[in-house]
Amino acid sequence: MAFVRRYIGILLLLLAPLVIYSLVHGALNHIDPAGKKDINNPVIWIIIITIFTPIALGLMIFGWYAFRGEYDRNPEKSAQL
Amino acid sequence: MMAGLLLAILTYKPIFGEFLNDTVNDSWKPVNLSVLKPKAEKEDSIKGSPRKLITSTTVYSGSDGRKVTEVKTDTLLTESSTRQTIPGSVVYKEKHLPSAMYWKFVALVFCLILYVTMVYGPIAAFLVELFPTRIRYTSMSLPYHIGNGVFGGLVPFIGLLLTTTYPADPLVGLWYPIGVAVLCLIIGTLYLTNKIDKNIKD
Repeated sequence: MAFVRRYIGILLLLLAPLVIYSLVHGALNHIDPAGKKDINNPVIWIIIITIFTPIALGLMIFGWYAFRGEYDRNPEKSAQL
Repeated sequence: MMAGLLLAILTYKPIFGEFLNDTVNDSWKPVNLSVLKPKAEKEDSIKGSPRKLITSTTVYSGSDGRKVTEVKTDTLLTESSTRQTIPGSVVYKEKHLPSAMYWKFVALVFCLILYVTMVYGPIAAFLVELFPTRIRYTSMSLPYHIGNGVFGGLVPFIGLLLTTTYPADPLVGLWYPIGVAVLCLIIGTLYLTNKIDKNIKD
């Protein structure tokens, strides 16, 4: 189980930059001052990128801790936290 | 909780696919339906053009309780002496579901609500048991509000972005809630435990 947790941790670690990259890439491709669609509006993209970047960074930190083995064993008592 | 997430991941697409198949425009063409209200026509002028828009509305009904309003919008050519029109779009509005389909929809919505209750029901107790008293309020409040406010609140935004980016698939917006549910299922199954510390004086 500890092995699975560590290697899923790597996946989570890689997922976070992928999410940020795809959002920034989508924003750069679709923001268009001349466009009429919602997807061309920069406000939506700014909101989404601003909100999801810290969440994705948190996921990255979580993945890193999982990979380091911090989650190899779940605590069973509060004193173990 | 995890079972609710798993069921949602596996059945969101088929359930919403059923909704879509039954309500899509083509399946409401008035075949074998009788006219309940005969055709009513309305002419509107088009700004900057001598042509006119003709909107004709017909209400159809079926023996199974099905009722639908067909709205046709054609363009009337005023250039020629005879009445000629260019056929435009046909839209079906005010769809009244037949009885069998209505109860099928009720059952499907019941399933969706069941998933919500499977996940939301135990969440308050689970979060309380997960953290010791000294950090409980912060530890509960932060993930709960990020989960509800950010992931839940951004569903319309992200759904709209996905449907505009990939217009070929009308259900593409579902991948966002499915993706979030997959992530929660992985983290909840692998990294969390529901074993509680019997000592509450922590």
